[in-house]
Amino acid sequence: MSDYCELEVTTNFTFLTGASHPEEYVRTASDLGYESVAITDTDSVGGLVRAHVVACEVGIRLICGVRLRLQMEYGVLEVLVYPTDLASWGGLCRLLTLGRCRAGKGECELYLQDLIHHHVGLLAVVAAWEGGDVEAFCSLERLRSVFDDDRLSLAVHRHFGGEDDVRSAARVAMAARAEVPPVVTNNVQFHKPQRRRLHDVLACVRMHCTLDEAGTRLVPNSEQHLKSAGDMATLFADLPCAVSRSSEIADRVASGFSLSHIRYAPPRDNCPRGDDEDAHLRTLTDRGLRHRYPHGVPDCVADQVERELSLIAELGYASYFLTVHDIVCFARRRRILCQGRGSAANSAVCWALSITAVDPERGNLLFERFLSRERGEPPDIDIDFEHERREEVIQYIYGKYGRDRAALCATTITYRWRSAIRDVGRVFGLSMDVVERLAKEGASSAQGRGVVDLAVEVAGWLRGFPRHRSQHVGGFVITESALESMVPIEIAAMEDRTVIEWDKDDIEALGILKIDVLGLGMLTCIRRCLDEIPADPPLSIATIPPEDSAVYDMCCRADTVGVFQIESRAQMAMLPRMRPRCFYDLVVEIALVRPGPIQGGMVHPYLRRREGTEAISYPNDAVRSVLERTLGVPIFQEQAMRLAMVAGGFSADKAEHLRRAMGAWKRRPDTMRQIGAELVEGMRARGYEPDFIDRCWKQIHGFSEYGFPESHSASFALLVYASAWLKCHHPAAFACALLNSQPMGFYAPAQIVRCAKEHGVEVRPIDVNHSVIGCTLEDSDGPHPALRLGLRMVRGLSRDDASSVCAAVADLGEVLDLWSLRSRGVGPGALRAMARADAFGSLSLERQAALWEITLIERGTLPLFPVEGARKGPAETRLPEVTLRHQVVQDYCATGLSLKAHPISFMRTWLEARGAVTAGALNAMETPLSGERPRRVAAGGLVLVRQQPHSAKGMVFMTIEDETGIVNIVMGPNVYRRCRAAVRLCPAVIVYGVLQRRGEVVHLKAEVIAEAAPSIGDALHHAVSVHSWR
Amino acid sequence: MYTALSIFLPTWPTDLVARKLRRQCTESEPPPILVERRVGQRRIVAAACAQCRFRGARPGMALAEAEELLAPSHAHTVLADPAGDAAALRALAIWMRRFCPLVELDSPDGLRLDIRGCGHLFGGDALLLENLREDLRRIRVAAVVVAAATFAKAWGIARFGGSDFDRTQCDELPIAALGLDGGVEEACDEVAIETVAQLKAIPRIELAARFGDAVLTRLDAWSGAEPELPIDGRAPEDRIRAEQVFDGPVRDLETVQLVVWQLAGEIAESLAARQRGAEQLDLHLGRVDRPDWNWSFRMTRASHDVAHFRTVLRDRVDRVDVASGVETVSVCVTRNAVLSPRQRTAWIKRDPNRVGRARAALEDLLRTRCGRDRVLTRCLVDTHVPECADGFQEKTAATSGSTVDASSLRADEVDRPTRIVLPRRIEVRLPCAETAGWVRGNRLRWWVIEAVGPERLETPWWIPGRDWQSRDYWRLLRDDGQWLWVYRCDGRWFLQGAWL
Repeated sequence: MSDYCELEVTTNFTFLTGASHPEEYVRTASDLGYESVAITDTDSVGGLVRAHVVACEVGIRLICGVRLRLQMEYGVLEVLVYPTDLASWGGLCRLLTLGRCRAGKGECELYLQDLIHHHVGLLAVVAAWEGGDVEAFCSLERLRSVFDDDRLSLAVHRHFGGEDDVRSAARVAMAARAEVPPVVTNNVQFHKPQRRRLHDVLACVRMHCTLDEAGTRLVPNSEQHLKSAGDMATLFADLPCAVSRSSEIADRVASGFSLSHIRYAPPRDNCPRGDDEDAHLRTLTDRGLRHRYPHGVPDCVADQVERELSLIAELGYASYFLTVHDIVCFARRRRILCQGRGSAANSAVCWALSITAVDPERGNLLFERFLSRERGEPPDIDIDFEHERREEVIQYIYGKYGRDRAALCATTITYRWRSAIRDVGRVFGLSMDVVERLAKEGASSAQGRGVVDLAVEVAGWLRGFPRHRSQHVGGFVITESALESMVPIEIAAMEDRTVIEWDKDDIEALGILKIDVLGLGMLTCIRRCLDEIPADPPLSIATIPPEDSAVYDMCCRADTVGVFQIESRAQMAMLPRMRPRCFYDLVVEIALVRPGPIQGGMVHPYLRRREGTEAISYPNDAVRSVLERTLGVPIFQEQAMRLAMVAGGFSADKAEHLRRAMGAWKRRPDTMRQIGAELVEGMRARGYEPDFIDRCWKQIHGFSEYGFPESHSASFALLVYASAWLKCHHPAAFACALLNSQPMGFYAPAQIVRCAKEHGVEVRPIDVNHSVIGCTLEDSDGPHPALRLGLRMVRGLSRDDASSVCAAVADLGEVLDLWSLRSRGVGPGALRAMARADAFGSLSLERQAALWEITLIERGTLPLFPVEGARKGPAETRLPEVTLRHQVVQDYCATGLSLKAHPISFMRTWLEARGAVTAGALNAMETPLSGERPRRVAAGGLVLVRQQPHSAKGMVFMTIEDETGIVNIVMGPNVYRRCRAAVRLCPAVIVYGVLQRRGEVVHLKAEVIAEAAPSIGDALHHAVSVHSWR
Repeated sequence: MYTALSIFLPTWPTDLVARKLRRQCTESEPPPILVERRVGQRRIVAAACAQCRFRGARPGMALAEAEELLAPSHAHTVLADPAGDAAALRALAIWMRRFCPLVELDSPDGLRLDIRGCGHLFGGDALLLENLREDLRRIRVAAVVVAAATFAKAWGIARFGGSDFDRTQCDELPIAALGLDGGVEEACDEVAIETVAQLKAIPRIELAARFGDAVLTRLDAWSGAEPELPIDGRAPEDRIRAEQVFDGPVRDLETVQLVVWQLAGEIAESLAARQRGAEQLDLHLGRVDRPDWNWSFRMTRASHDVAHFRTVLRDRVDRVDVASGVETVSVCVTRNAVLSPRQRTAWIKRDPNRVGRARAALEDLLRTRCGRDRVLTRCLVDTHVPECADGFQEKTAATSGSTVDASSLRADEVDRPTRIVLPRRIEVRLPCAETAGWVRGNRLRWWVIEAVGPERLETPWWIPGRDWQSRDYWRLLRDDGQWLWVYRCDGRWFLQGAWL
């Protein structure tokens, strides 16, 4: 039966050609009863690992192969190659690396010579060629002279193309003349005949034409699908040897090589020669522990470390930890702030090595969440660095290990619904507005209109197909031996970056370790702030005094603009209710206020229990020990795991299995259901109340995808506390650092400055004589230094221009005159940008006067003889007077903020005439008691933020700001629909609605929203960014 | 009084679209209209009708934004056609000649008229303006018509003031009314100079030092201190044309024919003198009490053959209605090409070019008589489906003389029968090793010795409504040596062709 094996299969990893996923081919082959199936993509091994995983699952052998396109003088020669052992796999990877690095991003350039150099151990099948048969025959002979030991074959195809007999006879004859055995393949492009439609569409996308225009460039029939062995045998009844040769080749390959033979070895550079790695790791860990606990290591920590070290030694991951430690040491030497995140913070060894910052004594670590025996998976450590200096770390890694041993892993960009329907719609020739409507509204808006239906169906198949490869954000793969012998490397679009062909799921499946080098804006900000604070010894995150109640007071007031993680609108609404008073409260706060927990019904029970309105009860002590610190509500992934272990009787590894099922529940709902059933069964067997079981299960299910690991939350909470402490005690330095680290965070500079002012910081305007590029601190009489805004806040001033201005000012000492700046080489464009930002105050030149002067400077050189009266001052020139309103609007246009007044203050009369109150008054209003009529109010302000979260059932949230403060607005979907124009497009609005108060949190539930003061609003349109959707 | 007239057409592109829509469907009011243009991938509103502006849509906005503002009503969106708009504006300018001869385009959305001395024909300048406004309203073109002392002022008032603007407030108009270039406007805006009066208040020396003389020129034109260039109302004269104006209206078709005959002769002579051939002819008849009659004809080949002109023109003029009277006839060559004289061959009786010329003349005649797009030629269509592999396309100058090039066929082209017929239902038994096969059909009965195939073709699946078929084609050899082409679809056999 299985006398045939399909050797030529193109998957969708040959972008825009193959029309099926690798997994689909493997499953179809298994259904058809094949023992093995090959995957041969063009110049790429990208799809092999996915196929391999599925092949192991269904019990079929995967033949790894690649279709090489060799450039010849007469055209292209396509040869399929299959490695027969690990060494030849390495040779194949080196060959592909050579081709890809030669050609540049996305392309591959290979010649016959290259194949001949790397031929050892490879089986080859010559599949197709352009040009005439004579030239191909010569190439065949050359290959035969190199591929000895019966390693070469010639492919024969029959696709019912009309000339089948003639063509296949010609091939067989050529094979006989060249003394190369023929072999039968089907040049498979899709796994079942119906997919031919997608294949046609992909061909049209590739050729940039519509289906009608494509004509004969499409295949004439659907024969290029995966056929059964019986069909192929019947089709080639006259060539039984060629048919059976395919399975011979398959056996030869499958018995020698499989992807599971690939062995990854982490680099051994970080261990002194001759030392044992585990011993070295132990030494470093002990040193680290002594450093962390100068007064003696606590027993629990010491036990934990011991357990972890023995597990690491057993699994052989010591070099991995040493590598990560080396990177972190480099960062610390260069004074780059870094911190581990994610599940790695569960490890005490990582704590000892200063990779992570969560103290095992304070936190509750579950090491199995990070590394466990039965998982059989490598550990994955993610580290955040300062986002502006991450490049230094990346270059260090490349420099130390070389580009042949270190590379980033890839990400496959796949088709989403919108891009799929756009491409498919264009190919079908649908008009643009139909396509746009389908793209926005999804598949359901098509209503059985023939062509549109077909297009929607095909686009549905196209969803999830790979489009192209891109580099991963920061996942590094570092090996001991040459990386290119394990996987091909290619050049990425970004300069100086090399990328491997597999993505992070692939390398995880093969047991290859990666280190994520990520960037975090808040770390940059914290470091800048710490640099500004004069303290001896210099302050660091670790030496910030913990548990400062003033900091927690500030958080309870929701005064958290700029603080890491808790500055968003949702967080600020939650803080006054949560009232965090200790570090662990911050840990919970971060994890709780996200879409998942709200949907899973965790937030409100927790709040109620915290406020004391609901009683807390535990079925037994075991459960109490797990859920006590979160008041009986499971919030973290570790708690779900521990709950399963304690209440459901799961082992640690099975609990890990549960967590992974939770993470993938959308993709594999049956796994989740099955494990869920086991858990419920286990809990019932142990005698828990059905009510409790039900609630637990619902909560666990609710946060499947969004739940945080506790360690991750704890790592972030450290940064939250640090940034909050800095904001509380050093607001000027904090604001300065925030402004200099833009763009980052949730708020615009205008809000940061307003907040700094509220904390008593004097903010000084941009001035040519006092400002440098970044914001700086200056001495002042108040408790905090004054904040001087920097040239980076001037819109339209490039970095180079700003540097030239600073250089000119430094040269002159003090600038008295615009002409002197001009003569020192500052361009008129730069002068104009600064004049717009009113930066010449110290020259006694107001904005208007400065601009008037600059129009003269822009004309070019000074006239030879000074023209009388050409340089009069503005008063003599009788320029019209500029109102304060005009000035504020121009401030906003030039820098995005104004220190003179708030734009809304000019609308105050207009607003009051319509019954609006100030934000300060609104936030202090009393709400009527329940039973009385609700209180109707109106407020107006600049729109800061608009939000329409997916999980909020169509509710839209907005924040508006006026000269006294901010107001939070909530509106239902009806109101949004009615007032859509005003909400979406107006920079300033007036809102009429009902006042709602919950403790300290005040919301205005909107009923009508309209544009405020259109005459002023128009001017603001350009100044304030209207597209501030989050 | 005021003799510089400026007409501003604020919604010209959308008015044209509205006219087209009204012509197609006379009952209902046209929907809101947006004109879009593409800038790269983005679609931007180029013009919006009054209804759209009322709802907030503005030119320069993204199309999606404008459509949202108009929701729930749908706007009719059209792609911008600046060439068409300009041509229509030219036609409007010509139509304006009924009010005064000196009309100039002020593109892209305005006209300038000098009405000195024309007022008395209408009973006064005010009545002339009244008539003008009434006529524009009648043809449903939104327009602002303003008369002022200088053209610059009229331009500014029309765009920024409105029809009934108080002239004493002229200087309070924004400086954009001066028509200065964008950089100057921006620079003035930044120093809070907003009105013309404020600009005038600045000493001239300072303005000149900062913005150059252009600003001073515009200010002088505004106030009338410097005279403006007069309007030149003549049409460009570089065309070859011949014209005949009658003393009174002629109602006789034969006379008109005769005149056209003569004019064609004149045209051909001037063409021959310049060694050029006409590619496009325009015939214009000015009629009394009826709109003028224009006809423009594109030749297949450039020629100056007078007989050909006459034949073509006569054929068309035959069908014109001249009952009301014709006052002028003019023939004009709008496009011409170089036509150098070619030596006729001396020794061969037949002139190889004659056939080409005669065929071109025939095509012109057919096109005149039957319609421009009714003359077609055969072409090959690139498709797998055999019965769709040929088609028709319009015969234009580009396709004249082209035949299917043998070398353009693919090298591995499969063998197709010399004759293809519509599929005819038959019954077939394929030959196998021992027995011969046969073909049976309506009065057909043949023995079949050999069969070659199958070749599987599938009809296009992306055309809904058409049945999708998977056909297996076979080539059958009859016992008398002829090859047949048959296919099997869903178990039924059809005959589709034969090799002859």
